[in-house]
Amino acid sequence: MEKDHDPGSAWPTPNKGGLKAEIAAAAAYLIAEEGLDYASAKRKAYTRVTGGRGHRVSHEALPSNEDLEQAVRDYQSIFQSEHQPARCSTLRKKALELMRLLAEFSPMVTGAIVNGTAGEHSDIHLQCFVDNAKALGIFLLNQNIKSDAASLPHNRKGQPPVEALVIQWMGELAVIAVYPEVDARGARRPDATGRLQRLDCAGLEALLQQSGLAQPNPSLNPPEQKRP
Amino acid sequence: MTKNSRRSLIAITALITLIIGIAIGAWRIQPNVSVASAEWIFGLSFPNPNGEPTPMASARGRLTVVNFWATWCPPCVEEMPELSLIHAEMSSKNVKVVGLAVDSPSNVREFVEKHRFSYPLLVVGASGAELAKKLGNRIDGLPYTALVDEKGVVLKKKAGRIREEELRSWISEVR
Repeated sequence: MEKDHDPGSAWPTPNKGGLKAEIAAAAAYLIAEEGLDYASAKRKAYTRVTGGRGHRVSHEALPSNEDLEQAVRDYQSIFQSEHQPARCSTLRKKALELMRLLAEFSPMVTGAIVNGTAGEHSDIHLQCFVDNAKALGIFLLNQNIKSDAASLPHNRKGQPPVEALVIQWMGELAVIAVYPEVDARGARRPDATGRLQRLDCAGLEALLQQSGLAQPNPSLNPPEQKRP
Repeated sequence: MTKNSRRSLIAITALITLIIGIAIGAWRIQPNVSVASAEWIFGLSFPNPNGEPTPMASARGRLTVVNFWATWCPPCVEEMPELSLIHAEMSSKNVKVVGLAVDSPSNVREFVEKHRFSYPLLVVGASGAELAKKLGNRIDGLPYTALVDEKGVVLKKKAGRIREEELRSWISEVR
């Protein structure tokens, strides 16, 4: 397997990964500066780097999500170190507030807020685990929060799309995907690399407290986040 | 050279290599096509449910509501009668609605056999998700609606179900 990073060095070495590393670096720029999602950034970076416009992009030619995430971290640490960590913390705090409000729907936060690469263009992505999606809509309505219904791809391939609600929350776009309650257990499991892809209230509070930013809410007692 | 200074030299070299790598990548990528300028959309063509190519160039010179939808997306289907009403009412005032289906041709064909709408429905397929993103969709989901002016400038955009009143207020703001 091709290695893009030298395990003996604190710094990745783009020349070793060749084309994939170059695509990852270019895609990282698109994600960090222009807010593209991983899939779009990879394809666009591939086209621009290889000049392969109009050709079908082979999956094998693209860097993995893990490598791309690392490239985004590298980019942010060099070019956005002054404001990205603060922006990520702000989004985490706002996400936590929303999760506290939605506590009865077992919310979990996912995406760049969890892995720490959230930046200027990032939104809040939550997943709620409840069998009655309408109840969430009614709850938001009762809170005077305007929501718009949408359909999102399921986080597991081959599964039917899930319902989602799009809201404005503390000046941010927040997308709340609604999964059946039975999926909650699987959502707490770490991925193949051993990392948690989602955090519940307690997990996000813990993450914020590590940097001294959380204000624990004594009125809520969220369940313990199981860690691997 | 001591072991420590050699390590420092390797680290500095690696850092410089990384910065150069990223800089080359960034240099190769031109700034993203601004969502505010989507003139390129007029150069595209998509088949209607019967498979006949329909150029988006026909939207040039008009205020166009571009709506991304799919048959498997309940909120998309829910908003279609309202879009249809807007199209029927405002078509003569040079305001058109076009529905771009992020779906298979067979699904769309089956759908239009059961439902009639006043506005054209074209089949974009899976690449429609990418196209919606290029037009400013940030949520990786449907529906997504953008109001594109005569020159291809995206004036308004919305992820999630749109309501007739909101669409009317978009149009009245620019008309």
